[in-house]
Amino acid sequence: MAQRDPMFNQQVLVDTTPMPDHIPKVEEVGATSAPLFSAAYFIGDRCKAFNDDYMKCKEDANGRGEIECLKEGRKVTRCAASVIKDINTHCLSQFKAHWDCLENNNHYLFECRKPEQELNSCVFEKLGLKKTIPGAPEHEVPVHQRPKQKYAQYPGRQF
Amino acid sequence: MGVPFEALLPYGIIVGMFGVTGVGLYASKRFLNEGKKNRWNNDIWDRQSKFEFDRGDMETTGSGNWLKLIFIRTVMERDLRITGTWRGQSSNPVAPKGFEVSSPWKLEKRIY
Repeated sequence: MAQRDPMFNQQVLVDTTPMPDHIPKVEEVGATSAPLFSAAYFIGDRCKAFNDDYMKCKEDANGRGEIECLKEGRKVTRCAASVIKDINTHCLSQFKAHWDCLENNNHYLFECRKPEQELNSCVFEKLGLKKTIPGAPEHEVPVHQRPKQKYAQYPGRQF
Repeated sequence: MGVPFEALLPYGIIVGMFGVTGVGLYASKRFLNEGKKNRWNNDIWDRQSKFEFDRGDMETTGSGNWLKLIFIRTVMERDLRITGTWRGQSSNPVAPKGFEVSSPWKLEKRIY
């Protein structure tokens, strides 16, 4: 892990000029790191098409993606915000338990499998979104469903 | 012939001082992290950047506020802009007003 930041800037500029009026407005996602990380797999499940669309657009734009893919980017933002909003409406307590646990354990998913199981089952029941780890081997139990977590502080069964 | 208790007093002091160090470090780290456990071994994406005042720039422009701090754009810095504290968290779907224009651009000095 790189311990030294490749930092070439001497100062920063915060430009408070808003976007011009001919560009449609979008409300930015207000969730911070831990809730976003907790909801990441559900965002990926619902918004896969939008995200892939955006990445395709960026790839095809030849480096001008920030300007030409604004429309796709707005869809990505709205979709992620909708997932956060739905989880907040239907599974607030499980969601909060999970991201509190993540925030208190250095954002390690393997320390928080019990709240994650509860959140996963609630979200699957209410919203129909399922956590799948892309590229995981199919003949094994995925890591988030194994009761014992190898590197967790508590060595026994987590749930 | 037993060992007199005075011989064991230094060991008591040694062990006690280890205890003071441990409790003190635990308490100060919790205090610095707003009651949560410390975050460690973060990569650059997560890390809160070390910041410093650019004093020369402050004197020329005359506006000495936090915007003049040198930030690296990271996730923890984004948390700061949303919640106002380094370790604060929020699960709101919509960002607070003004968040969309508060993101810093990196500036480099011009090479002539």
